[in-house]
Amino acid sequence: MISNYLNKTTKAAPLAVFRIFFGILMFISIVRFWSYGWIDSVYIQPKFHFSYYGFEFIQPLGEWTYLLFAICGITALMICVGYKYRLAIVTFFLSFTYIELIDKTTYLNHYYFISILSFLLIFLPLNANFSVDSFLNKKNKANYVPSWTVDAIKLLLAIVYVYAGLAKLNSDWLLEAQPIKIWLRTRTDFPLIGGFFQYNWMHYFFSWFGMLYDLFIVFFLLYKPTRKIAYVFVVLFHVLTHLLFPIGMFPYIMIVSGLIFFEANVHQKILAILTKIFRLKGALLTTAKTANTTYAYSALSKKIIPPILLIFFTIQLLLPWRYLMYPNELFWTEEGYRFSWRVMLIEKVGLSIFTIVDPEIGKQFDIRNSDFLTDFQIKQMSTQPDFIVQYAHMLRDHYISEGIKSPEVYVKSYVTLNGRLNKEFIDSKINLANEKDSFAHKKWILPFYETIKGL
Amino acid sequence: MKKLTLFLISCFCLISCDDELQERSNNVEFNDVSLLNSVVENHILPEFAIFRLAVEALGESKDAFIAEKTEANLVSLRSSYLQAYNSYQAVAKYDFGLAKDINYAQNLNLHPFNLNGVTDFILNQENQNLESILTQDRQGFPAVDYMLNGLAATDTEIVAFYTGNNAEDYTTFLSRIIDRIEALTIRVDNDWRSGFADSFTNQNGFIDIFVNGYIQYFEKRLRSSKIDFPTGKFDGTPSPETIESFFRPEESRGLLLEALESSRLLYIGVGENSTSLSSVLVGLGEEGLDAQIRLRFLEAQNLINSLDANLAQQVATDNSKMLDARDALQEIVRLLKVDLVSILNITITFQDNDGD
Repeated sequence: MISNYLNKTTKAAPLAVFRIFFGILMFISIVRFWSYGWIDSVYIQPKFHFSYYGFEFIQPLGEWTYLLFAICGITALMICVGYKYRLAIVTFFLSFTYIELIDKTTYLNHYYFISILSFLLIFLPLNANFSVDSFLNKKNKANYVPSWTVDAIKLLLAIVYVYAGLAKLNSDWLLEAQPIKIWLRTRTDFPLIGGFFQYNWMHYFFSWFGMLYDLFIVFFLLYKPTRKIAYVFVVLFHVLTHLLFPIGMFPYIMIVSGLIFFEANVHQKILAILTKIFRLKGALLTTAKTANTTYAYSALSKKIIPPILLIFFTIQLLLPWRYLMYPNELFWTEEGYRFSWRVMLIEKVGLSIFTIVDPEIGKQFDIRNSDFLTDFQIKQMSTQPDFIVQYAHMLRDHYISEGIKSPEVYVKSYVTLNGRLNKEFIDSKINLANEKDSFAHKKWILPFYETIKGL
Repeated sequence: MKKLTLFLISCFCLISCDDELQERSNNVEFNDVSLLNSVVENHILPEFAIFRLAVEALGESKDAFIAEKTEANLVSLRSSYLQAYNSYQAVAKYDFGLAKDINYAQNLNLHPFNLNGVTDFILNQENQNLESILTQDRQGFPAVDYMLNGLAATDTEIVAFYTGNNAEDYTTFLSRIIDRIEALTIRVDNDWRSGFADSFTNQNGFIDIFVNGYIQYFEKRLRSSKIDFPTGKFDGTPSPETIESFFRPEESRGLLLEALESSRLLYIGVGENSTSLSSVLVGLGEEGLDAQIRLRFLEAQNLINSLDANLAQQVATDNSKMLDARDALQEIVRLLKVDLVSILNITITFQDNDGD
């Protein structure tokens, strides 16, 4: 049965459309990031970077970061037109992922999504049709591709949506309408519907609708009779989130990705329109000669790609559940929180005051975080324990170099979660200089004393 | 699809019906414009008006002293100065617009002041450039404090500086720094009155700027400058010479209390029915948080009241009481910087990035 499925084919047009929009949106994302001056403020200005555990070898590149972004942008354009596609997508994946790994301060689910999506795309023949590659080398041109190549993208999108929906099945989201309540009720100036944002029922409406949307939208997109209306919802939903929340390019990426669920003829129409607008040669489209060709993976590819993708998707399916291995409340400790499509679930603000003690002479003093970190880093550090311990180690090393033999580092840390009054976050009696960062549970995170029920 | 819609609608009905019963306060709309408007009308403009009058009076007393350099006029000038310094505490909070652009607060009240720099300025008039960012610590109230209280131990000796060998130099410098306080104040006050108050109230995003500015003032300039530095909170070594009003240290606690009270009033609001941060929190159903903040303000006031009027003295005799007062202020910072900011959904950093 599996080999039957693997041999099934479908038109290549959906992959071509996906490639074109993915490439152009990535290019715009890079230009946008660059033009806002974020390369400088996020990757060059900070004196210290919060590396991911296990990826400490990923070093900031200073001014060379611009080159990295340039490479990323150029390869995005190459992907868009399908020129030297395999080289372009591999380079894009590597450069984009490198950028993301420099500093977890900027971690966003959607950056992670781009990273793993571009990894997946390495193995898919997105240049089979309507691409410079297939135009230059007719041998590469194929009007059909294995069905699983299109389904793989659908599966990844399904994972993103469904897991985002599952993550919303918790008492804060459903029973308290938090943190949506906090975010909406201060936006009563929003055009047209802003006046309703003060009402509780509106907060519940947004919360429940968001949960149901995430859980079920993929199934409505898969099911032909509901597909069109579902896609209208996709567009409306993401445009609204774009207008309400500062989530950058993500809504557009999801709107465009959603197209993958449509049948091939819709994509062929899109390609025909693009051909007209850009006065491309009709030859880019299917010709009689190539009408029935199917993209053929090499023997080696056929051998290695299935297991790679099997492992890839298994990881994707399991990773979000790793939080179950940690005690205490997930939203509070954030142990096992990232890489799990937990989107917009928590509104957290924290305050962390670090004290350095020189045990030899019994002197102690507080430090100013702004002497070491940017505002953005301070904000992220203050609510996430793995940042706090990393920062404490940086402080320890800094004061050793300042001449304190074995500095002790303590933190008084307070965090508010989803509208609750702030509580002490980290055990202030623990000398963080001696604590290790690892995947193990951090015992010095103080208990939450409440339960947020649900997944 | 139909079934789903039906399900959805019934869900929402259930929730909203249930909710009508509980709904108490959420019908009060959170409205930045009315909050900012009340901040401008009830706090910023009146407090600047009072301060401007005090500064103009200071200028007149200074002129009177220069016209007739007597001990009596020195005493009267000193009293105008104290009056102005006290009413300055209220406007120090408003580091927005022109005030921010010209570093108004740093020009008026950077302490500790730079003794060598001031001495150099007095004796080398040609060097006197008060406009530079590097000479902010050679002017403002701390420099006036030195010129009126710090030159010598007795009034007779102080007056002697303005009548003796270098009388001209001392007089000119005193005059220049007081005139500059007055000129800058008039500029900033005019800025508020000639349109900035309007943009502050009505332009998008000023709510974030206002709340961030308020908290930053409270943390950096009220708590840090007035208490943390003298106690040595940031380097482990107390430095009483950094207190405000160093040459008349018995005024230092008074200035601190003045600043704290005006911050408290800004939080709770003045006048009937005026919108304030406090009333906004209550409107959003956050009475608990509001009550805590009010309580912490009073606790901090009590602790500071129990300190020696001379904060330098307090540091020397029992620094731990200073640190207690400091912790009480920190409790307020915590509630403002964590809970208030979260509840009001304030953007904390303007170097912000996308979120998700």
